Amino acid sequence: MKLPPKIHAWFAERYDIGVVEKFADEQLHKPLPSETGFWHTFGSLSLFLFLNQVVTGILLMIYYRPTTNTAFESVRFIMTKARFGWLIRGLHAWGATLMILCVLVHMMRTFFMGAYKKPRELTWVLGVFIFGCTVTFGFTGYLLPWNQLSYWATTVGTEITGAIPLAGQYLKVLLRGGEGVTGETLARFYVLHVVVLPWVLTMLIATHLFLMRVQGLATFERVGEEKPIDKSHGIPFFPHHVLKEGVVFSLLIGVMVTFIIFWPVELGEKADPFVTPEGIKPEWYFLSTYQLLKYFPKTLGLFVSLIPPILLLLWPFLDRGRERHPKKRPVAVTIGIVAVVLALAFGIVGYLSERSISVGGHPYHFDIYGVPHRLPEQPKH
Amino acid sequence: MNDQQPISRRTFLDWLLAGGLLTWAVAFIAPVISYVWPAQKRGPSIQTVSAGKADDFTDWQTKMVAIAGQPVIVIRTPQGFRAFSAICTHLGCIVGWDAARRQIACPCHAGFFDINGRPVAGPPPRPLSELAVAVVNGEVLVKSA
Repeated sequence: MKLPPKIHAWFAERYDIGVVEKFADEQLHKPLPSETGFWHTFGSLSLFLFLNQVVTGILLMIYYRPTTNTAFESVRFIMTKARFGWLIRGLHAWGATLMILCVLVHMMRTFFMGAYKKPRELTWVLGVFIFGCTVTFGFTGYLLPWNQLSYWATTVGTEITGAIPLAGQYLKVLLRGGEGVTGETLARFYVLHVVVLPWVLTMLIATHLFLMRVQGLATFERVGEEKPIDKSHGIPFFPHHVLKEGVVFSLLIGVMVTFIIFWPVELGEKADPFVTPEGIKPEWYFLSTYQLLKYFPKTLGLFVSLIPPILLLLWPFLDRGRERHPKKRPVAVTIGIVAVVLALAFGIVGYLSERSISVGGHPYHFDIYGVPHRLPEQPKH
Repeated sequence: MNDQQPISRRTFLDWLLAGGLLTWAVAFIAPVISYVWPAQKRGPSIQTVSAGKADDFTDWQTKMVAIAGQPVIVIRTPQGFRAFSAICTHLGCIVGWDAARRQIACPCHAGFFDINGRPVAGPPPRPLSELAVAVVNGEVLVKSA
């Protein structure tokens, strides 16, 4: 892509535009390893979804009012009165879910392909922080509609903070802006959600991308034996990889709009601090932690639930083998598969717990620990 | 004999500069932290609230009232009235009355408390705190601690 000659000349007379052009050209035509495939598009998809969150978030802020008397009503206004408000909120809510999913898949791809190994340890660590930041985005944003589900999920979620020894109660009060979840909590979560976290995440993503571009994508070659990729063997970033990303972006937009139409985001009932509804569950990405916490006393449960993120953070420094190919890393790959299966299993049990459903035509109630109990059959009339 | 090297002027100034920067940072951060700390933290407030006429309650009937902004569950038992904080001691959900079990139940994680507020099932770690109840001129008065 070239600037029109007159505009190019205007800039060239004032700035050393050649340096910028050379840099842009290098980045655009940088050869990627031959292993680069569709799995490598999940990082860009996450970035695209972050941009979607920023744009739709700004649009939502035009009508949203962060007070206990107006938050719920303003979201209802967005969904029912503002033109295309249902679409904007749908894109924001489904975008959040899909962004967490894409970041998770991107992390799994990095893990199983051994891309976190030397010299890319810091890129991985930043990625773990990006994931933490994305999940915190979800947690803070969940309260903003001020409905029953969001109010009680936040009450339970912030109460867990109180279990941290010594500083827990102080942290809880600081997070909530008082003893309970009130308008003070809503204001704090709003500030975190729309100002603090976007800037933190932008800086984390910028550094993550910078390191990725400087060090290049990892190959399957052993640590310390990576050869520079020459243009004759690599896949050009443009147009080959960009085209691949374009295909995936288009699919993602289609998926998002389908979800918004067939599974619209509901608003539910306005928060009532005096009535806890039955079956309060967190968002899907907290379900495994939610279920895990049930098997342990509060403080111990908190420590147990901190083990996976700490392991993720330290993983590049624990696994220092030189192989990258998954077939040559049986231990790491097994640990990874077990972790994914455990997270899925706890998540499914968390979803089923405290619900009554029919299995094979028989009614069952899954108790708090997810153990099914067969219910007596209803007499047929 | 003293083997210690005297501190050079440059090192001394480096320390002074670092100390000054640290002081400056603390002076900047401390007001921010104290600003973020909730400004209005409620202290203990004693309040008496009417839960209604005693005659309007039948045995094992319950009612939810608000005292100092906090939910309280009032229960009429054959032995008299009892009142407990309705905030579950597990993770802060609001408890309710399970008429079939004649127990106080938490809808979040299936915690149950007996009629004395003691946890009998599920994860709640502590009893519900009890409030004083008195019937004065036929009116049920609940007093916060």
